Amino acid sequence: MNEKRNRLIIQRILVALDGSPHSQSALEAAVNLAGLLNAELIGVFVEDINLLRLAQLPFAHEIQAHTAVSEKLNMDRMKRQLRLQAQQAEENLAQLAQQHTVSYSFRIMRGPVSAELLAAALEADLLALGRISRSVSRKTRLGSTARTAVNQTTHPVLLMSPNVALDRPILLVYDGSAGANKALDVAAYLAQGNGRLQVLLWADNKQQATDYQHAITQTLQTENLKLEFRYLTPADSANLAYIMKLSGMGLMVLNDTDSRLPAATIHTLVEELDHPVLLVR
Amino acid sequence: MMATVTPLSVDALYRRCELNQLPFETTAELPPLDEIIGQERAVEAIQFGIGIHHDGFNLFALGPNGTGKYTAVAQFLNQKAPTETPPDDWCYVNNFDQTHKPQALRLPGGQATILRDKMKRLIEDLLTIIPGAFDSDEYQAQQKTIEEEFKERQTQALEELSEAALTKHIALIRTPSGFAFAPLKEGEVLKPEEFVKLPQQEQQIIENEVKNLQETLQRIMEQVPQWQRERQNKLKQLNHEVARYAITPLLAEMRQTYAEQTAVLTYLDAVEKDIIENFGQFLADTESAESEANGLHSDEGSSKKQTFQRYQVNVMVDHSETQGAPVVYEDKPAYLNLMGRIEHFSQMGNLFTNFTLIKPGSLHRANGGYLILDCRRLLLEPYAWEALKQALRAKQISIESLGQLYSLVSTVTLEPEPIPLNVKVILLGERQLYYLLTQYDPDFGELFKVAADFEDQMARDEGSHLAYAHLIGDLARKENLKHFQKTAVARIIEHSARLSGDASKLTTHMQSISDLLREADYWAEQDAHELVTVVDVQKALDAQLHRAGRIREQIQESMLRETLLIDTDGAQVGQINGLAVYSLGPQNSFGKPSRITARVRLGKGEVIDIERQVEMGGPIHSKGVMILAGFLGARYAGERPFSLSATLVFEQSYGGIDGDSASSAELYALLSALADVPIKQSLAVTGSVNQHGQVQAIGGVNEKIEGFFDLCTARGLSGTQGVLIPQANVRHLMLRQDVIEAVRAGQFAIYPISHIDEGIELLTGIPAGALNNKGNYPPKSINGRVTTRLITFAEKQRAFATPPAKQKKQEKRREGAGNE
Repeated sequence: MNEKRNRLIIQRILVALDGSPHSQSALEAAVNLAGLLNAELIGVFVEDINLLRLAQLPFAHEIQAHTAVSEKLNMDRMKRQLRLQAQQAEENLAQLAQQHTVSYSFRIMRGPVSAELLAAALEADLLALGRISRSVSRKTRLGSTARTAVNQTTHPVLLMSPNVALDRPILLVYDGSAGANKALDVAAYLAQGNGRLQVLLWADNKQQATDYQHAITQTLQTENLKLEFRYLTPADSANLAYIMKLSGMGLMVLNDTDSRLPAATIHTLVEELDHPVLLVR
Repeated sequence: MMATVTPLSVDALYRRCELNQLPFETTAELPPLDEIIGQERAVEAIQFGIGIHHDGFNLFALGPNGTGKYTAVAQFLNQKAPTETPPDDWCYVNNFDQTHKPQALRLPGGQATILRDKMKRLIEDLLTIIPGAFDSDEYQAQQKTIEEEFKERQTQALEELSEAALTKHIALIRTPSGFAFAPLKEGEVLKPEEFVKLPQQEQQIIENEVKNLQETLQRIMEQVPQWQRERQNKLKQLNHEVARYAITPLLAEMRQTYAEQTAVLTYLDAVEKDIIENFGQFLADTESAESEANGLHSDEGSSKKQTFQRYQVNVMVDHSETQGAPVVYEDKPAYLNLMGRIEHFSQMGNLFTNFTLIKPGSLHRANGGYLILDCRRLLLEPYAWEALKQALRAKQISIESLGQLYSLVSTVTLEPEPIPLNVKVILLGERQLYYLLTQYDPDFGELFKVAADFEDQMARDEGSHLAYAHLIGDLARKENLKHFQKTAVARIIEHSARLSGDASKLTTHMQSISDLLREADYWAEQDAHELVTVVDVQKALDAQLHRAGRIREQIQESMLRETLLIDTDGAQVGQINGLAVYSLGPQNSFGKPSRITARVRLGKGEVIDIERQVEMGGPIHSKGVMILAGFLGARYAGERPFSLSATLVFEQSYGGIDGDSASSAELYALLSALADVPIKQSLAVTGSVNQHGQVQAIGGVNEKIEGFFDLCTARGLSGTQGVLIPQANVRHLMLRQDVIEAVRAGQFAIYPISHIDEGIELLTGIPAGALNNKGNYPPKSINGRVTTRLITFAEKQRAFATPPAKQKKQEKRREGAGNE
């Protein structure tokens, strides 16, 4: 990596753990990343205040997911269950972190999940979390906590889905902006893993796209990466999600704050894609 | 008047093979002989037995070992079998419905291996085709659609409920182990303390709402398993469709090849069904867990191999190389070698098996053809005979594990489908076995209807001499021996006659003859003869004799040193040289003189056979002694008391004896003792006697004569020595050349005897004496002296039996009678 370039500095990665498959993949990705960037990992488990309140309601019942049996809820039971989840999350974190010799810490917080997480994220350089948590609906591609994180933090966010291998080629959305160059920097760094980088060139016309391609090739000429370019016109923006799905990529890297693309478009894209995303800010 | 017995002329002692009967110089000139000689009856039976195609017409070739039973059968089969239609192939394939009962598949000759290879290739092809089909985007998309459909169904129901709840300000919340409903206030769950503050009525409303929602949720969730099942069924159906679509072209090709083999088509249907159901085994290793659950043994590394074993074809019989009907000779007819076996493999200390471990037996290989077995070996193998009979009776081969059958071991085993059996079994065995089986095994007669009875000798004439010469030529060619000169052939023929024990027969014990040929060939080689000469043959015979001669020479030495007392000159009362034959094997028997003595005294009319008293004599010997006692009693004491007690013994005999060939000698010894006339020890005697005093034929005449001759020669021939043989044995004489030379020189004599009277005259030099018209024998004759002695005995006995007073009176009366 060229030291002169404006390096995104990530020293602490905060990973939200809730025991869901999504959060497990977020953890895995975060551990990998922490290993790569030599960063510290902070695991956070938030005891949902809503669940604790619910448990205190006199009529509260829980319908068991695997038996459909209704059981009376109480505070002790709920606390025990949350404690067990937290314990499991910590064990997972410890195991993975030790495997990758990454230094880590773990903390349990209590309160509204999104708020607690955002507050905790302030002290980290990157927030890693699952696209959805243990949500009722499976249709949602982006859970409420993730959405809050995308919309309300200024830190880079890594959104993960299960069963997506990180060794697939990294996909970068590039529109020539300063933010896009930042994203290119991160993407190129991460792409060293398998030596392949796919770039989607978001340009107004062919000429511009060629210029972008030329600029990227120039920038990365010392990197020994296999670069693949794909040209997108503004007309493609509606089909962007579809095009990206077809490209069979792994992690998608993009910038939503300092980009020529409107943030709303990017957020819609992030919502529509059932894929891991690294938002560089 | 003494009737003189003339010694036999030299011509009678040996029947030569006349060289002019052999129209060739060496056996190389003789064309091969295509037939089996001297076994017309057996060959006819073999032809019949092999030609007839009905149940139970199996063949038993009986005869002594070495008479060429196998050669005869094999020669005939080798001519016939190649002209017959080759039988079908058989193989075992997996039975997909009942794995423990593998299915037998019949295919036209040579097709089994082709099917095996085709199936192997099919599975190899499927290993790439099926994963390809399941890897396709189309399949993945369809699979995802089904998964999505299920998810959506579930999600939709939950979302609808969730939305309905929201309208009532109630949220559906995911708890660590399920779902719950909670009243909301400003997007947050209502705090318990706020809830308590609500009016009672409002609280009740919320509680009821929550309760209703919970019930609805429960109803939805109760449906989930049903949806799950539907999803699984849909997935399964999709998988099966994809698998079927992928394999159809391959199987169609196979089906076309075997369009006429209904059984193969049925098998292919089953294979198709099984592949479709178990398509997972063709996919990557992640699927192996599935196949394991289906009861397929899976092991690290070998899992794939074993999984696909179920589609293998285990070829039991492959006739792709067979010309005509198979001819199988099973050298070791053990149960497993005959019927086939089921092998096992060990896995983690347990024994497993499958249809690929079924191994064929010789019955499988011979099916549709001929199976040759040695009867003795077959009977010696446990269960083999019963199993063979069972297979022939049922006309099918069922492979059963003996251990399983008798509960000796208990492990996983198979019950392969029996294979129809159509085989002709040819048993080779000794006569005794045949007769024993006929007598004691009721199945035997039913299953082995044809007996090919092999002769041990054949008629000796000009034709058979020539046939023998041909045979010698054939053997020489077959065994790669030197060819034989005419004179050598003649000598072999003469030896063959000697082996048969009859100058007018030839032996059919071809093993002895071929051994002689090989040995003669060896000597010819040693002496650098180009052809085997008569000298080589003689050398081989002498060597045989010498090799086997240890005991014979030892005995002779004992006689020369007079450890064994045998006189060859002088004369003795009640003592005679008998002749015995010692047999140490079929090729090794020799004659030995034995001293027989008889003593007489006053007694109650009995001839005591000492051998019998001490149980060293066999029943035939005892019978001979009783017969001679019968002759003695009837001839000399027909009408007066037979007041004699005689003892007969073989001196210095320490083993058992049997046979009646010494009964004439015993009688001579007895007569000599009674008549008190010495017997010439320069003569030896053989022959049995009947109750009329006729001398009857015995066996081993040549050996007996030679045995005595050898002793005499060793001591020096005196010119008076000789042997008395039964007249009936003259035609058996094939004596050694040195005996013949001695006879020619007048140094040794062979006397043919037909009646005891002739013999006793020769032995004592005193006429036997004939009855005169008064019914008396001349007093000086042997018979006269015997009668007188017996009368004396009778009177003495009477004298002992009557009181003294009466005795005097009787004496007086007798004196009166004597004067008459």
